[in-house]
Amino acid sequence: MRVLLCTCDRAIKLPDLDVGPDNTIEQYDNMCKKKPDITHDEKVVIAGCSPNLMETLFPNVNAEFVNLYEHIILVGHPVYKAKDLILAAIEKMKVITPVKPKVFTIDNKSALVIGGGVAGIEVASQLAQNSINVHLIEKTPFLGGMVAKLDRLYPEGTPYSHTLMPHIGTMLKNKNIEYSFNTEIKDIKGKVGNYKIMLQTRSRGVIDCSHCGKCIDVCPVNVDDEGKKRKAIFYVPTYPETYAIDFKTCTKCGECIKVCLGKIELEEKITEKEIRAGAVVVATGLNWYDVSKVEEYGYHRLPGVMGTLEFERAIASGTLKPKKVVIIYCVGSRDSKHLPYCSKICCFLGLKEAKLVLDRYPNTQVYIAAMDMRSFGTFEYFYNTVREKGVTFIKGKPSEVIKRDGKFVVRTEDLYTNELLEIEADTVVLSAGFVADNATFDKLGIKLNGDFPVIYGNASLGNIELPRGIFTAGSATFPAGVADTLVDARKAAFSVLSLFKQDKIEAILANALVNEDLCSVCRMCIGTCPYNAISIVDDKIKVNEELCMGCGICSITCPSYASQLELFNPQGLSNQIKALVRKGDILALLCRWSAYNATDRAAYDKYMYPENVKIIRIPCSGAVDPTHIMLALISGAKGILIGGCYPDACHYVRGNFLAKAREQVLKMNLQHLGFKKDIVRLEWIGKDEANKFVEIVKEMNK
Amino acid sequence: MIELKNADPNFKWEIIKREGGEGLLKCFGCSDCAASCPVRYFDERYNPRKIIRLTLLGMKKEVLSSPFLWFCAHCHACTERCPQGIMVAEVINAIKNYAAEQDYCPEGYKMQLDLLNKLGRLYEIEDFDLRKREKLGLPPINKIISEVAKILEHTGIIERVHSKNAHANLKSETRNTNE
Repeated sequence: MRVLLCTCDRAIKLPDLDVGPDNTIEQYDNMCKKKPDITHDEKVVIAGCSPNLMETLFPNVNAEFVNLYEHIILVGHPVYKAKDLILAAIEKMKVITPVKPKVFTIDNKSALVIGGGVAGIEVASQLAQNSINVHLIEKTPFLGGMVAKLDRLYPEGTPYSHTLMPHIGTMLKNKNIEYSFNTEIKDIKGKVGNYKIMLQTRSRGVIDCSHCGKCIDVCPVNVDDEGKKRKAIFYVPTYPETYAIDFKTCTKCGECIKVCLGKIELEEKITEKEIRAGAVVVATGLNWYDVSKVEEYGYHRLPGVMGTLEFERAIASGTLKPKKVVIIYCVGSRDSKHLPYCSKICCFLGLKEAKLVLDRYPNTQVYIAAMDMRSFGTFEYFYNTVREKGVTFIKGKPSEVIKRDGKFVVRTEDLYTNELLEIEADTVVLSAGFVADNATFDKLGIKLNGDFPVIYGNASLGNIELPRGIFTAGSATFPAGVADTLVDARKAAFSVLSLFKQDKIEAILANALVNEDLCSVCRMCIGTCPYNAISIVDDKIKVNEELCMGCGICSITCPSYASQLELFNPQGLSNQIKALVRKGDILALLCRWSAYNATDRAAYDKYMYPENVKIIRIPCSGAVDPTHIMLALISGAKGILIGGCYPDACHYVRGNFLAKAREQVLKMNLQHLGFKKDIVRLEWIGKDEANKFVEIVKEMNK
Repeated sequence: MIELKNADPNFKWEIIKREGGEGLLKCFGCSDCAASCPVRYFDERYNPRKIIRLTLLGMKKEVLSSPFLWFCAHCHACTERCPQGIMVAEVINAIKNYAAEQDYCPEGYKMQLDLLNKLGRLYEIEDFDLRKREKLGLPPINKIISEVAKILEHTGIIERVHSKNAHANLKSETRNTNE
């Protein structure tokens, strides 16, 4: 094994360092200016400055980094500690097997886009403009998605077609897009760059169409499609310009065949087709939450209580002329029994409905009962416009809607006046929250955080992506308005383009491995993995390499030490601790994402801490085994500090919570063994909290 | 409990039409006006936010007959702080004017106004006061300042406050709805 030592312009010299017979030591004056060559096959120990810098100088190497500059030179610690750190790192690397870089080849450079709404259209159009072959599938017979269902779009109140049609027009100009309507995914196999997807297509019914519209006149079946009346054969004015039959309601009477100038088939056929793609973009959009689950507002129970879409369509088509309207906000949203989150866009939908009804019938009285009005950003102007139109806003969530003397009565308390209110109205509109249309998520292996893909909501999860090669766009990621959806779609298209720019991806990824000889298939690791990367295949535990992020939590959960993280396994850490810890030392096991950076910061800001503090860098505070702590105590450690990220800020979703749970059990057991309670401390130390780290170690050293 | 049955949906529009009442609809109920009001430190029953909210809800009778409406000292602290730029004191003024027209003006105000109209000041100067001034070596003053009456006539406030008809109409209206 090579030991590469950077003397940092001869600031540190270790002339009598004995690294053992198998190892060679090489000294460099300035490693950052003159880099030594390191191959992927060998193991090295690199002693120099902080690993945060060294990792950028030597990416993808099998190395243990020893931090001499920040932990010795800057804080003025003696030279023997430097030797200890280097020897301990050598002990650790002895048991590590070098990892070969994994290669993902991008064979197929065409993309599959799921969903023909605004997001899907924008992704397909952007990709096609960059000469990528795109296959766009849509589960309904027409493009347009959610936007095509609406009448107007907020905040300007433009008709939906003004926004949607130009985007469809731009997309249709591209020749390299293939469209499949009435199509859903049946099955998906393969890895990034090479997916095999089985598509299932239901026939459209109308084979050849001259767009005369006679079929609609003769069709006897009236269908109420979310507030809009249509026939069982219908047309949505987007694309394709062909009628379609709704086979769920069609009675197969054959009237349309008699008048049709083209060709209609009344038997629904299902065909299957396999396609290949290198990347998949999921733009499946969203759905309204089922408001009938919120029983107190009486959707279904009281006929006439409407959802937003029904109301909008009824006003647009002129079938409803209300005199007094109450729009109830947050139906099911921000409610632990229904949707615990805020859907972000329903406030504006409610404002839009209020504006819509006042534009058509200015004498209508409109009340909006909202617990909060969340008009972020420039939407405040929209809120102001609607308020100045004379809409009465009532702060407070209505308790219930009842019917009295043929009128709806909305019971609420107005928090602005602290008075009870009963609003009598002829129309009640429920502005519900949104849920992702997650029917395909399971098949694609997208992990959910609540109801939405895990990527949303935690910006600190820097390197976490969906399974590489599968991207989400638009409201499938989180409910978004048209403008935000377009931005998100372009982002997804850009991710696909940067993926297709490379022929192969090469990286050393520290993955978990399972030693099948030791594994007893107890399934403990399946539950602890934050990424659902571990599953059972043929009665054996398998780790999905694409999903594994290398946190090491499974390796210490395993009771038989069968699961091991490459480049960091429990045996290596044990060796390192045994070699490093002496009597009276304080061992600090610090998370590489937060607490370890605090020690660097302590060095730059000249916070001095005692020399008997020995620091080891670990991937996550959740990757510390109680045996490591016992080993350190046997070696004579005076105290052990485990430093992790703050709750909810864990880089690996929930590693620090697992650490907390373990710490409590461990403390209890240590007390039984006669140790002091404070001998092991788990602390949340942020990236820049050098003073907190120094205070803790000083306190432990007393 | 607010009885929205008796609410008059046109009330807020009538206030908005008047001078000073224009900004009323901008209110989103942040309560900054109530928090900055110095009168509220002495009497918590006075609350400009509540007056504006009740106006927006259309509770005409409650707003106009409330004695607290007349507590406003017109210090304009609320106008300075309103995040929506509503001239809160002017809105209160507009409501007061409307209330006065509808004969909801409190008797005390009316008596003071009559006094002002008659004498030009709120304190009546009698011969006793004049003799006292003479003893102290001060010049005599007019018992009546007639210019004030002219100003009052010009503003039309006397007629506004004393118009009984509107109030009578309103009373009969509310009685009808109650029946």
